[in-house]
Amino acid sequence: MSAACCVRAACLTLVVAGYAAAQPVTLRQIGSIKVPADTVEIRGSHAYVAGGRTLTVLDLSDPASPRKVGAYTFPEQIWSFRIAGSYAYVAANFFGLGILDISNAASPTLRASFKTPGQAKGVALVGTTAFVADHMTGIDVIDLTSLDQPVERGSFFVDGYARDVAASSRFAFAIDAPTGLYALDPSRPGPPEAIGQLQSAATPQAIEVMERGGQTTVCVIGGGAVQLYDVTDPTRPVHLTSLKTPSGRPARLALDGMRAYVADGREGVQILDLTNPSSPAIVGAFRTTAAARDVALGGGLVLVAIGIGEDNEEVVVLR
Amino acid sequence: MAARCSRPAVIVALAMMAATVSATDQWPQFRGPDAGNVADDPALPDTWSETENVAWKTDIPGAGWSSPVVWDDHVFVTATIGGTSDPKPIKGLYDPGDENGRTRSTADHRWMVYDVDFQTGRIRWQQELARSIPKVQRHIKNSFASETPVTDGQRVYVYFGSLGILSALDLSGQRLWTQELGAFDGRQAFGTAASPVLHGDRIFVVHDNATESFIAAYDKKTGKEIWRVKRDEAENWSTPFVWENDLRTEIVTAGLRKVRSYDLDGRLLWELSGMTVNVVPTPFARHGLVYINSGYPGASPRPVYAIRPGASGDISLKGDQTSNEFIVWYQPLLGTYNTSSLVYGDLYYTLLDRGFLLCHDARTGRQIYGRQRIAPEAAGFSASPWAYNGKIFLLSEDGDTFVVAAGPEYKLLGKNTLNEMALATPAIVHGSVIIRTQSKLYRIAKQTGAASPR
Repeated sequence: MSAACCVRAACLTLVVAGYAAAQPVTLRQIGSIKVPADTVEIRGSHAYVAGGRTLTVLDLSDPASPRKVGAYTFPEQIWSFRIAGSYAYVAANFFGLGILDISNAASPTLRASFKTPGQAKGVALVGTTAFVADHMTGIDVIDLTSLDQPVERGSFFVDGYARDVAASSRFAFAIDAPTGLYALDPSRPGPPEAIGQLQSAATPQAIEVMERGGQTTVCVIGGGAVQLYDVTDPTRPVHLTSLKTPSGRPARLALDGMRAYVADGREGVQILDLTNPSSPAIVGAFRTTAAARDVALGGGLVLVAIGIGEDNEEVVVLR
Repeated sequence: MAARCSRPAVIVALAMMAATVSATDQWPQFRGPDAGNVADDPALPDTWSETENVAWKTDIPGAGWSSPVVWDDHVFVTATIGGTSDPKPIKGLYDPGDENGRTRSTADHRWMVYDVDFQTGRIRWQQELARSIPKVQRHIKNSFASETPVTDGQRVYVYFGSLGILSALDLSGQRLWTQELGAFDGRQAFGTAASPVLHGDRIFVVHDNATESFIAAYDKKTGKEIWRVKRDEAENWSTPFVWENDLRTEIVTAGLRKVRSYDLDGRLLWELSGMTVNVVPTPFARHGLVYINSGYPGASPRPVYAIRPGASGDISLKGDQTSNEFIVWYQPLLGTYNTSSLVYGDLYYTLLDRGFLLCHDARTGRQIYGRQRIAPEAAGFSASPWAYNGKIFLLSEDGDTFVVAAGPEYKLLGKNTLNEMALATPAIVHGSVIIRTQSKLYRIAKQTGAASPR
């Protein structure tokens, strides 16, 4: 794509008729960096990018020129990860859960690990409890009170393939293909069990949680759509609505409390206004030069992992 | 397990063996003559390890997940040799990534048939049927020799879907004929696995693929194709089942788009919609019903159907139906992915690939017990269960055989470990269990009185 074309694409704004309250959002590209990139997160002035087996740390002090400052390579593929405090919690395939100390961005080090029975596909944290989506066992619950000695509290088996897990301040929410959404309470004693579940999700593959004004909303990517669930009462999840994305192949999303930024494959990034989660509306878009696979928010920036195949992957910086 | 037996006990045991010998006299096909049911035989072992109750173990050159079949003192197995640098299989159910696990080998392979001496474990003969680069791709967990051969005691019939050939060999290893059937990738290019079946003078082969799916019948003496019928399928791995019921003999095939039953001349008798993708389990019959299931974990429903004889036309369930004139019972979420289920006595046992056992009434589908974790360490299962002497045997991909009490309550009795990956379903014959692991073939037998071929 030419520079002029990029500018035109960057200025592309899409407002859906019939949702007048939503404010259009415009993004423009200010930088990029070639790096293997499947998933991405931002914390402070750093971006964390997982591509293949490697988690790379980028310095975003100059967002127009992101710079690699450190990396850690696992023996297995990284499916996803979450950042909490000075640690990166990494779902690293058959390696299981890896916990990287990222307090020194230039030198991430493996602080702890826990081998899950199958493929670790996703991870979320509620306090010191980690929930790992494992392809064989379902949701493995691991007590990380002592990083020197992670302790398994048990597994919650799901009938389908556990795909991902996300956390609110109190609960974990997990998904499995083909249809499952589960709420788990880490404070509940005994073997892990779902305190609530709903079998209506359409082939879920990624999940994020948003808490706002006493309301907790889960966003699930799957079935070519963003699916929204009210989980304010986690014992009774309620499907609010689903919104098909333009590509029909959304991959992951990030939430900022009011909006969802959706990595929408060949259609780039779609921005959804979630002021009313029952009635989401696309209020902006940015067409990337290659398929958007993940998106991250932080420090006023939007980072998008694009491309397929290590040589073609990069992270673009939007503002 | 070494056991001391008193003389009366031995006499009783021998009498019991004589009374029940017919059912397990030979093991000519995948899952044996009776879908994993083995006649009770006190000579059969309950416990074993790499050294305990091992009559012999033999290295089998090459790779193959096909099951052993046995006739008298001949144990037949197949494998391919080559592609040592190709990706290695990984245990369990997993998401292999962007290519979904498919892999193409560019190495020369040799397609092999082995005859192993039942008594000694010595490889009596080996026959190379072909040598070439594989014509199709495969899933990294599949092999190029996943179809189990079938034998009638005169010949062994070997089908390699990955090469597209069906061959007959006599029991001395001489090739009698080879028929070219065509090698085709399936929709996902995961390779092939549906085994041939034998009935009368005919061999039946189902090959569902993305190019020209078919079911065909071949003359077992000459290899000549007798008939071939196209199928509207794109890939399946389920072995067809010849169902001799009270009304007729028919060939039941399971597939994503349709379960179809054909008469012995290839005419469609009945069909049924409602399966998942990736249909692997093999249909089987018991109590006058044929049981059909599929259970890709990422799909819903994952059905089990129990069907009575005599159907015609489309017998699919409509709307919220859970039964109809021919579907006696249906369970929407009981299907298995790779394992075939087992009816032993009056109970239908479901071995979920991720290490759970369930039990239902075989005649009604009523749940006897729900999902039971076989053992904390029990994870992946591909081999199908078998049963004898009031026990259910569950061979995991780790090479552990979990022994569970048959009956309405789940009770784990023990675990027998071989410490090597295992996907093939064992053969149980002549008082022995023939187990194939990734590199070896074991004959497991009580060391105090291993039976001889009869």
